[in-house]
Amino acid sequence: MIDKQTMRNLQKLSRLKLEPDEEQSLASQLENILSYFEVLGGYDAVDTDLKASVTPEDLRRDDSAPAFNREVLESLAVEFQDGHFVVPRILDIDDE
Amino acid sequence: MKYEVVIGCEVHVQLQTRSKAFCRCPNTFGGEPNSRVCPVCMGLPGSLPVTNSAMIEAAILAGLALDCDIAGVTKFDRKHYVYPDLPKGYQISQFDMPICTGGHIDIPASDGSLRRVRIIRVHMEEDAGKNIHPDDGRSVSYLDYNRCGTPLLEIVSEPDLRAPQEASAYVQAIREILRAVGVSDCNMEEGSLRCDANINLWVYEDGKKYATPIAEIKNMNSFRSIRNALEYEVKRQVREWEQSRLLLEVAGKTTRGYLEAKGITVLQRAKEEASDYRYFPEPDLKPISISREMIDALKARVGALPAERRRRYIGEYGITEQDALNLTSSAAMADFFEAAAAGHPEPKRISNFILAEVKKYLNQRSIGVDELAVDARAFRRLIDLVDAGKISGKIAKEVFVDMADTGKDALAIIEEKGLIQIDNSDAIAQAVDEVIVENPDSAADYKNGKEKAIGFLMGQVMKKTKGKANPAMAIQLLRAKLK
Repeated sequence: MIDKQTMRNLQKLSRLKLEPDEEQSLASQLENILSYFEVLGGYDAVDTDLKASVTPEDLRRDDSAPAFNREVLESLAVEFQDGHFVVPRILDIDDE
Repeated sequence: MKYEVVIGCEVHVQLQTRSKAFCRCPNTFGGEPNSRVCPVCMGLPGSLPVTNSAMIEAAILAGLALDCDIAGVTKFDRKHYVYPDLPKGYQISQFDMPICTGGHIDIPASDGSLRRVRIIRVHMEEDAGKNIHPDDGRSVSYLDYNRCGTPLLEIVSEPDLRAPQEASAYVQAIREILRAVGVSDCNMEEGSLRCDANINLWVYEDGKKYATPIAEIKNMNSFRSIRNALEYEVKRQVREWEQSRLLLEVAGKTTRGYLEAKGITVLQRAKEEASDYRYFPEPDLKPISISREMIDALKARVGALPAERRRRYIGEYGITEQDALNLTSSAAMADFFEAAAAGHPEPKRISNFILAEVKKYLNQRSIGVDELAVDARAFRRLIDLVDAGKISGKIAKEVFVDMADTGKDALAIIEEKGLIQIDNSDAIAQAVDEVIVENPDSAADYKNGKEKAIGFLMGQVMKKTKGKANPAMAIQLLRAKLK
């Protein structure tokens, strides 16, 4: 069930602003989409996954390898300065 | 107003492995930015994670040391959030099948009894990178991904703590245990141990119990700041309750940051309404089965450490069982003792000084031995000054407090304050003469065979010389003069 609070949260998370009538029609469409996934409930997926497990002995041994070459790294970056990747100023969502 | 403080802690601990959690980049601290990154921890398309077996082993060791149940099967999940410090767009963490559940540790409660703190779960996850916000006027942030993908344990407690002091003691206990089993150095300054605390009050009024809104406190970087931040928060919540009577059901949970310099907490994020981490099982990593045999083998390693130290202290150093227990009550304390006593002919004397004077200092200030301004080597230099006859044992106690308060070296303090022992027999003889003249009764008592009187007279000589007289010389002179 997509209630009003859920719709408000989804709008905030997806950075969308909906008109009240859009909200209503989207909510029912969303419910339809979600109901398609209910078919998955008929399968015991988690149990099947867990049977295909590995033991810690199968895992990687703890030894280290050389890291990325600095020039490669720099060539990947849009901007690179003093060893750092430079990105637009990060602000917390609530600071905006 | 009658109320109870309720605190639960989330502790993050960086595991001391050679390589990162899911790639072979070195897992070390410091160094050049972005010097320990690869396609996996940078989240480049097409790269695949491979789990480090040492992380699993360390998590089991930690879980056993914290009396947890170890899962027979455990798995990793993706926790999604979008932030530049996490280039994949999700963190590999554990959601519904953590590796350890249901442990506990016992700590001293604020009322002197023992407090059992239940541990809900311990799970493994990878750390994120570091953001740096430069002050150069440009509207940019810098990113260093060295820390990205390093292995972490998150230890979540029940809200069983009832005082700020207990929260600090709990985190100290966690650190001591994890250091003892060698899974982390738990260094708060370098961020290898980080603690967030959830705190609120249960207010009792008119026979009813009310819960105030929960605040999650972040950015507490030392045991002292844990205590101070939470003490401030208790006062703030009491004030808030009295002014607004705001309830947990209404206001929910907020996030607050501790500003150490000001000693206050400030609101960072109001009530969380829309957060969705879209957890799902990590499809690139298979679940892990942990055998009984592996758990039993690791159990043997957990039990051996402090017990082995105690055996050595008792057998080789001639230290009593009780003192050995006290010295190993924390790995940090045992480390301090061992480093200070190394190569000393009488380790027992060093143990006595630590358990009396050092412990007293630490208890009075509620700090751990590794927060002490005196390290083991500086402490040993103090003991060496006593051994060399430069200062008496009594003066050494005062000098130690001075060292711990100021961080200065022992020799600098005794020179500065003129505390060097008086080895000059003329100066001591003068003090002895004066004491005999001023205390004729005691002097007569001693002459008439009352051996005890010499103790009192010695005390007076030491008092007169402000504790600086060489005791052996002083008693020799006293006896000679009273013959």
